[in-house]
Amino acid sequence: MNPRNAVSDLEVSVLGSFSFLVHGEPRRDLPHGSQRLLAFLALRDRAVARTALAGTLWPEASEEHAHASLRSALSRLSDIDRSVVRITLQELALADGVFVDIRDARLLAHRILNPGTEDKGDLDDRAISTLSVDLLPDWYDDWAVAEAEEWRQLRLHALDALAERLTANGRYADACSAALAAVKAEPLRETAHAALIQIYLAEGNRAEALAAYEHYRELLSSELGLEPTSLIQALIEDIQ
Amino acid sequence: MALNHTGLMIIRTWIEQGSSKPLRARIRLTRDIGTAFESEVTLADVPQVSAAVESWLQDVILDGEAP
Repeated sequence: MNPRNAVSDLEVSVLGSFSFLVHGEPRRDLPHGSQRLLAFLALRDRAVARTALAGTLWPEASEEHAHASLRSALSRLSDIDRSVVRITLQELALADGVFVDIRDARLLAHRILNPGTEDKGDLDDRAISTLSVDLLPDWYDDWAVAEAEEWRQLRLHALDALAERLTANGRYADACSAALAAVKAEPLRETAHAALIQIYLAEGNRAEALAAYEHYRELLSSELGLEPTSLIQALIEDIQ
Repeated sequence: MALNHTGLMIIRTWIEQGSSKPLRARIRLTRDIGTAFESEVTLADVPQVSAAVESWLQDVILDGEAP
């Protein structure tokens, strides 16, 4: 069953920004320490030892202070909110049944990257919007930055694959949206521009293909003083 | 005691096969993580990347020395 379709009373989201929802209502006054705790657990699919958790979330504190900060982050959750965490003497994890957007998004990306494993609906608009969002973009903790970069790589590759799959299905407008999302995420990455040009060519839109090539060529020239590679030039050779 | 600022620089690199200068280094940086990322730039030369790192470190030092 797709977790997104499940009715979940508790949701932790880390895509775009952090949010914690109880019965659909956002908890806006959650202290930052508690937010970091929930976000970190949301990014792990398994239980995390208290010592590892405290050391990662408060790396500059002494072990004693890091554990105190962890206890404080837990204690500042209300009784209802605390049900989101499964707590044992040694470990913490998010409780079963909590919806976590990044887990859903990662599964989606992997299904798109592995043909034959897709669910019905994986190639819809929702996939493009999910794969267009960065993970906790304004968080600077080491663990959050590392997770954000890993997600960024996964979503860029998934957007490439999605554009290719949609093109093969003749869904050119959606394919363009996927390719443009990849371009927006990394404007000087040639693969995404090449995908966009190939989509326009596949639908017989030579003018747009040339315009997309020119846009990339000018961007590359103004930013880096370079010319596009022969690989992308070859795509528009026949129509110039 | 001076306020303890923490700077952050992320350099994301990839290779564009077939380019005359195949390195791409996307740099995002801030001199203080209390604020958002201050700038983003993509470079294609190792010396330019090294210069960007050096310049950012100098800025971090200057900020740390400011009263």
